[in-house]
Formats: sequence, C-alpha cells, structure tokens
Amino acid sequence: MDAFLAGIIAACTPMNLLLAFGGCLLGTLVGVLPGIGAVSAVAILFPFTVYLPAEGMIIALIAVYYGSMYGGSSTAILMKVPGEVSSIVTAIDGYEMTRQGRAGPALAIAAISSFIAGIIGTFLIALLGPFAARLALGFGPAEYLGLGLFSLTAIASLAGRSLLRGAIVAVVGLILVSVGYDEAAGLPRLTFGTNGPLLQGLDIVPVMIGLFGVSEMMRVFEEENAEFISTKIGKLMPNRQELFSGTMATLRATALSFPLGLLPGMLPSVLSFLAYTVEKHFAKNPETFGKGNINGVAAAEASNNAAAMGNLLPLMSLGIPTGPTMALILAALTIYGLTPGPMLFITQPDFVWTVIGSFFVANIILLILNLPLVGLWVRLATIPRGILVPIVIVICMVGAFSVRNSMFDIWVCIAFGLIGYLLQRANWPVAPLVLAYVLGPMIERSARQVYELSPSMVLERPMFWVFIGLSVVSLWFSHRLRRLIN
Amino acid sequence: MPDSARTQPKRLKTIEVGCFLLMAAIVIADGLQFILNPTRNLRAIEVGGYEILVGGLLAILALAYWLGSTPADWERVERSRVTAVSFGLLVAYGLCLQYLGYLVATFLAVATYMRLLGGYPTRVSLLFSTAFTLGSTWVWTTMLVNLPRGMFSTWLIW
Repeated sequence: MDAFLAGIIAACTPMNLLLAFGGCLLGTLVGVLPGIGAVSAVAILFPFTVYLPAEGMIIALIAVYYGSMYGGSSTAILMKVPGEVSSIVTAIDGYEMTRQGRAGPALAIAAISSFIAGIIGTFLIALLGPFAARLALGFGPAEYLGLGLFSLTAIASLAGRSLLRGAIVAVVGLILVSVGYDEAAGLPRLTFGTNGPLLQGLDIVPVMIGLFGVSEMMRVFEEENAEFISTKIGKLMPNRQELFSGTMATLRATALSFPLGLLPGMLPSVLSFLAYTVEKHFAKNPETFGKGNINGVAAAEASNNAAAMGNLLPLMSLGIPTGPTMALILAALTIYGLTPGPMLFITQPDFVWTVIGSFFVANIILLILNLPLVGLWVRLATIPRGILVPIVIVICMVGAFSVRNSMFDIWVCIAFGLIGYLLQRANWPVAPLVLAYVLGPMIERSARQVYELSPSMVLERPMFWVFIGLSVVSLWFSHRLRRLIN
Repeated sequence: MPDSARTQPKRLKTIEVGCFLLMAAIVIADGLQFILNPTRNLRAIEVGGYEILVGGLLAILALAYWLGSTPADWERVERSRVTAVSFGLLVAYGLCLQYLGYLVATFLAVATYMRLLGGYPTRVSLLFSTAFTLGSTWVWTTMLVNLPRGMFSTWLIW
C-alpha cells in the first residue's frame, strides 16, 4: 500500500499531472469524433507520445485511452453515435434517457460508474499485480509458450462470430510479424531477396494506425448521417434512488467484468454486452431495459472500465496484452527497452507504481473534466465528415512516418488501411491479427527455446498444461458466451 | 448490421480462401528454401520450420473454412464508389508525400477531400486547406515531429 501511495504521489508531479490532463482532454476530443474508438484514438496519437520520457508516455497513453472511452460514451448517450463497440450498449438505455429529457442523469451516472469501476480496478491492480508478477517469475520458455498459445486461442475464439475466422486472422498476424530480418538466426524472412525496407519488417505502429485509424476513415463516408435530436442536458445529477440503484449495478458489473477482463480476449466490448445482459436477466423489471433504465447505463459503463483495468493487469505483471490497445501500450514500453512482465516490478518498481498511480489520477481528472465540458464535446461530435476525414488522415500519415522517418511505413499504413477496411466489410475480426502481431515473436522465441533445450521439457512443466487446458476452456466459454449474448 | 445489408455469395468465399492459400503457399515456399539449404546457417531449420508450420496451419484452416458451413458474410455497401474515391485520394496523398513533401501534399489532399467528398466550394476548400496545412506544419515542427520533405527538401527550414 505504501508503494501504491508513493505511486499516486509520483503521478501528481506537475509534469505527470499535465500529461494525464492533456491525455484525458485529447482522448475525449478524439473519442467523441464519429468513427474513432479508443483503439483508433490510441493508435493515432501513439506516435506523438514517443517524444516523451517513458513514464510520461505511458501516463499520456493511458489517459488518452480513458478519455476516448469516456468520449465515446458521451456521444452514445447524447446522439446515439457510439465512439466504439463497447459504447453501443451504453447507447441502448442512455439515448432513451436523452429522448426522455434525462440526458444529464445519464451522463452523470456514466461518469460516476466509470469512476467507481476505475478506482476499484486500480486498487485491485495494486493488490494483485505484485502477486501475479511473483507467480510469473517462475515461468520459463514452456510456460511462456503455453501462455502465448492460450492468449492467442482466447482472442481468436472470442473476437467475432466465428472461431475459424478468428484463428485464420491470428495465423495471418503470425505470418506478417515474421516478415523481415530474423535477429536470432541472422536470416531474412519473406523479403523475397530484396535488400530494401522489407528487411526492417512491418512496424506495429503503421500497422495499427492503418487497421484502426485509416480503415475507419474509409468507412465514415459510407455511413448514413446519424440522427441528431435537439439535446437539452438539463439537471445533471440523478435522484437519490437512481444513484443508489446505479451504484449497485456498477458494483455488480465491476465484480463480473474485472476478473473476466484478466483473461485474453475479454475486451471491454465483449464484457459490456455480457454485464448488460446479466443485469437485465436478474433485474426485477427487465422490461424497462432498452427504455431508459439507468442501471443499463451504469452496468455498461462500469463493465467497460472494469474490463479495461482488468486488461491492464496481465500486461503489467505478465507482459501479455489482452487486446489491441494493450498491444499498443506494450509496443510503447518496448520502444524504451522496458519489457512488461514480472521483472518490471523488480527492476523498475518506481516506474510501475507511478503508472498504477496515474490510473487513479486519470480517473479523478476524467470525472472533474468531462461533466462540465459535455456541451463542448457534443459540438465537436458534429464536425462535418468532409473536414474530419482529411484532418484524421493527415494525422495518421504523419504518425506512421514519424516513428522511423520512413516513407515505407506510410505505404504500410495505407495497405493495412485497405486490409482493415476489407476485413471489416467481410465481417472478419481484426483483434486476433493485432494480438498475434504482438504475441508472435514471444511465441516463436519460446518455441525455439523449448526446441533447443529439450522438446520433452513441456511434459515436466505443469503450468504449460494449465495454459493448454485454459485454451480449451476458452473455446468452450466462447461458445457459451455467444449463446448467452444472442 | 441487419441481415438484409449483408451478402453471402459462394464466389466471395472462394476468393477469400484463394487469398489465404496463396499466402500460405508463399510462406511455405520461403520456409522450404531454408530447410533445403540448411548448411548456410545453423538456425535455418528452425526459421524454415516455423514458417512451414505457420503456413501449413493457415492452409489447413483456410481449407476447413472453405469446406465448412460458415458463409462469406460481406457487408452490402451502397456508397462503395465514395470509398473507392477516398482510397484513391489516400494513395495519391501517399505519392505526393513521397515526391512533393508534406507542405504541398497536405494542401492538395485536404483541399481535394473537402471539394470531392465533403462537397465544399473550391474557395472554402482552398482557404481551409491553406490554414490547416500551415497550422499543422507549425504544430509538428514545434513538437519536433519529422515530416516527409519530398523534392523540395533543400528549400525547407525544418
């Protein structure tokens, strides 16, 4: 607890506070823009944070992530324009409340639920993080191979409607990340004999910007204009009964979503659907859900934030990203030579606790910042597409170029923009590709180490088999989850 | 997405599977060249073996998808021409960035997007584009972000 408090104090230095504040502001600004979700926001803004020190970079990225999630929820409630998939659930009851002239309480309960779930999640990370890291210290190549395979299986089975499609996309990700010079062997792979930029491989930043930023911008013009109703926010705070009921729904959704968020593939978008369904299922008045029930908004928002916090724990303590945004944050850490995982808690404890402290601070900043500015966010969300698209495209291209100052990365970004667009149109999940992109090198490295040491070593490592067992469970669970949501 | 807005012809599924099989073939072929010529590097078999494993897995999964009951599930888009124009402009912007540099390319791209896809009058598009290009260049250079310079690189001060 002392380390956690020290982390909060370290996160409150003027520079860190400024970065958290700026990140929340910028994240919300990008999150309210139509078609840009949290992943896209982080992907687009990621290259511009590489100029910051490591600590500041992660604080800014986390703040951007939180801010964009909140921004997406605001427009979902006020305009039925969800900034991302997980906000679709918020829009169901939130927009109905707006239609009934209760936009203020809907926005307030969304902010309060997010705050409560975020704070509980931060405490749980502080409590469980060191424990998980100590557990992972005993991991060898076999365990990391099992963990990588489990993560990949889970994300492939949970993202999208078809397991087979998820698996195919994940394998494509494994192939794409293997392009370039293999440093361990000193051999070029899939470079077709060229000595050009292909040898450097396909960097994750232009790949992510293309998949999530550019492809979304290509889709923006296809969508019909959203239905805007004249929004009057009016009284902001819900009444005492609504506040109590919403808080209880928040606690239930947090209790469900945080532990599930620890598992790979359990993204906020999946869990917000699940939490909403469970809340409706056990409600005394399920017929009011979808007609402006405040518990629906609270459950969706709390689940969203609790899952986001749950996703961060395996990243910090095991070095395993559970979703695309976490993959980007992992990439950010590796730029500074920091390898997330158990050793980070030992070699860089100040860094880890400052980052955890910044989660706490970012949650408070969001609560203070967003409710008074909600009118501004609504006006921003109505920026015409004809202006929004070229601006975002320019930012994407500059971001892709700036990481390695390479025109090749701009072409990679454009190509992956097209790939992302086609995948979305064909209803193929994108998340497994990104996760495979990040986990691929770890899986390959572990597999090679196991092969070089002794392939039979996996028989002597029970944790390897635990992870393989978990892979099978995740396949079964995804099947059950699809049935429950449908 | 309502079902009426989706299309599931067999031909699209065949194209999808064809793309994956082609990719698998390329990866397996690349892996084979390491396996068949292992003496040049001790780890060549590991590298090639991994590629063959992953390529083979992709081929098996693609074939399972082809033979399985899951249909191709493409979203039917009414305004796909707009997307084609948007992508064409994006490629043109990439080319302009490479040869003309950020300043000129961004000015042209923003103005063209606004005129063609946003439907703004030419004068408004040009004015906004000029303001955005100069403003964004100032922001990037202040943030020490490198920008593509193109053929005018020697004239630029940043």
